[in-house]
Amino acid sequence: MHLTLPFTELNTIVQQKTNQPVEFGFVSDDTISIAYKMNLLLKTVNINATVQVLSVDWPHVEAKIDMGSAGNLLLQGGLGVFGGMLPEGLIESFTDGIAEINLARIPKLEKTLSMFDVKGIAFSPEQLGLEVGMK
Amino acid sequence: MRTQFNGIRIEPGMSVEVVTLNYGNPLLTNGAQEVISAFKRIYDIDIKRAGICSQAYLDVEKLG
Repeated sequence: MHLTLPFTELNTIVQQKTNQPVEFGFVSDDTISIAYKMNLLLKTVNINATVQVLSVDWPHVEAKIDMGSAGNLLLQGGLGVFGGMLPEGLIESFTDGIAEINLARIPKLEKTLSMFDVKGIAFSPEQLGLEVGMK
Repeated sequence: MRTQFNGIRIEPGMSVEVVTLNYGNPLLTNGAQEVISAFKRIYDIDIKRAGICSQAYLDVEKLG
């Protein structure tokens, strides 16, 4: 079964869940861009990241995250700046720009995600595509 | 240069060709099963057990 989710809809969902305007965009069939504003040390900072999916072993996803030189430096600092914003256990490890992500640790999606076995991820210019099997 | 991953010997230059009906990257679809099977068939190695079934280790080139 193939599920698709337009990036515009994904932007809306994330904004509703986090009260944070986030913009997802297409880069290639395995890479998306993410842009959002973040309050950091009393200053609003524009964060632009590209995320390349390297492998999928559901619910574990390995991804290469590039946030530019300054952003990467913050990330290499052990996610200390971002750690408090993310669900505990979501990022299992982060070394050399490669993050091991456990999507089962997103609290509001935990139950939904446990019903599916996601076998693949592919991006197209307008949408995120998931190849899904039922558990 | 030869490298061992989880006791499995991997050599640079190893490559496989995969014919797929999926429209996406075969490493990111169907649990990369087509790529895993191709490496098993051609080199008799389990790239999943070796922990290299990822674009961090493998380059994907679209042919045709």
